[in-house]
Amino acid sequence: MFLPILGSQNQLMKETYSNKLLELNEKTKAYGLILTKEDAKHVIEARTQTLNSYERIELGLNATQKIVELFSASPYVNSKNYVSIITEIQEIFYYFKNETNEKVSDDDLINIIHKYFDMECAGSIQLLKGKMEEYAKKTRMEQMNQELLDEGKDIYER
Amino acid sequence: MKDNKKQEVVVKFKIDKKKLNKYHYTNSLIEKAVHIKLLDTGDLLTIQNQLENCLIDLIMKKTNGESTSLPADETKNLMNSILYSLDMYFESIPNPDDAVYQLKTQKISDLLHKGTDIVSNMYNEVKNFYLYIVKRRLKVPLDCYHTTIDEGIPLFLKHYNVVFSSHIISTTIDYPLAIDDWEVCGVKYMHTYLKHFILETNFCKIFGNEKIEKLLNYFGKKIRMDYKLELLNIFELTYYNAVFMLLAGSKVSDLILTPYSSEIVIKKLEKLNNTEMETAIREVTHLLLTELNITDETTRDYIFECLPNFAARLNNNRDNHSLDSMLVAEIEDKKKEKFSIFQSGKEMNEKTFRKVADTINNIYDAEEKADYIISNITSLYDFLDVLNSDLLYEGEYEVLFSKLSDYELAFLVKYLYYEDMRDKTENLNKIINRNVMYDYEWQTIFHDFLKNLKREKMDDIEKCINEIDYVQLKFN
Repeated sequence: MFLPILGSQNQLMKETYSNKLLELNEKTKAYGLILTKEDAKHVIEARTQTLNSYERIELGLNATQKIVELFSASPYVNSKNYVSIITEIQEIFYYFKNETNEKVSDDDLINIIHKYFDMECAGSIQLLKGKMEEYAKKTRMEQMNQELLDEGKDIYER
Repeated sequence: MKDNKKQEVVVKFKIDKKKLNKYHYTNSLIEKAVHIKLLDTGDLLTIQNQLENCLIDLIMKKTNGESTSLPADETKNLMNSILYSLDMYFESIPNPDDAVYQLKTQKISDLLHKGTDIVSNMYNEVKNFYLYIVKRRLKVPLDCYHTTIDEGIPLFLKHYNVVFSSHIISTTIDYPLAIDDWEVCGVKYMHTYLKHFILETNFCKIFGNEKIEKLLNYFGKKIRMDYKLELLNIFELTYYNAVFMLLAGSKVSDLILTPYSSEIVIKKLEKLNNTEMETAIREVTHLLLTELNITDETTRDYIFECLPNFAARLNNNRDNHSLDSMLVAEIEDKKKEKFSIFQSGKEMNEKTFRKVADTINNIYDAEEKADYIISNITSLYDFLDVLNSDLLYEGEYEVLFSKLSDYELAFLVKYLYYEDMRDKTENLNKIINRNVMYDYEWQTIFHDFLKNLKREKMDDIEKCINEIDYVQLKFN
């Protein structure tokens, strides 16, 4: 079947995305963080794998770009853990995109992850995952309550 | 320059519209165009990139611009919705070569808009069809016909999404049409469905509601089922019988054959071979359309489209010596006014039933208990309620059953083995010799009770079963 070649699958697109990440070095070098070509390729490759394993499709690189920009300013990120933190956060982001049933916007979700990472979790990925599980659970409960309320309202209005 | 190029495309290459896949039109068109080199790799890449942009736009719309990613199945769904709208647009272009030219020279997003407009217009037409059929429906008690109008179609109208899921109809349509293409999806399916639904309904309306209901009643009696609950097509039944009426030399508007005219038709059809059958049915159909003054081309075409299937069924039934099964003729009402305790059919109210149940509970003699039930229960519904309520003990059930008449036992048999008895090949003896797991104690005891009856008694009950109408089993 004829379908558009979606961004992350395309070799040419992967290169374009890698270059976009390298452009961010201008901003991140202020924190002493620089991605090499290899690093950028690695981050994009990890992104593709994460998207595949969580069965998601993304058009554009906005989420990863935002993660790089935000987390490079974190006091818990240094040149040794920079690449691994970015790929881990990327994975956490897509995982919780699914877990929150698409109800939280990209920006909000990245900001929440960032807030937990820098504050309560003090840069611990392990703690962050636990915190995010709690957050997703709370979000789903709120959604469920809202749906029940709407359903009730629906029946009442009928 | 562009016009010259267009001419060149049209003259040099020709894509046969009929050979394109009507269920995946855009894909099929592009594949064919690539195959005959109307489109090259560069064109294909441009089309793909443009489609990707359309998809991004749609994802942004769907997420209110708050997310750039979606679960894969949702993204595929959006892509299918885009392709569906494009299918609708390209299909509307008479010459596929022109469609390819537009693919090469115009923005896909513009073509998509045009497709979405077509989908949207079709959706509005479906709404109008619906409003029409609500007022013009047949007044016959066939459940699936009415639930389709009252539930199926409104649900579609409520949930159909022209932009995000144009290829999906989130509803269930129960009523089967004579011609129905389930491969078609989205609004196009509903559009065709309702067009045919209206056409079939209007055809039946020529005969009037009363005649159609009578036809259905005789049909139900003939096949020994409560037709009201079945998924059957009224149009086919009407069209077939109208043809049979003409074959019998009867007045077509009467619609229902007499037993005698039914025999004449069978004799005539039995002699025909496959080719003669189709020719004969075609001739009579022409005659039928003239008699009924049907001049509308769409209706005529539809009926002729149903004809091969009609002829094939006749051929098949002729070979199996079962032509009779396709004809609906009057059936003499042989039902004798037999007495049964269920005769009045009047159900007790909750309070009265509770009082009767309390009394039954307080009687300790089996004979006395059975007599009390027989003289106080007047409907099958209440009788079954007593049996289902654990008011009797093992031996007491047998005493009660032994006090019932053959006719009353037949009621219970027909109730309990409703599904099995619809098939004429199943007789009571066969049914009770099976091992069956029942939900209630009384049912198991009743099964064993029947098993122990003498052959003659069983035959008598079986005769009574045939006299009981399904309507008599219906609870209010």
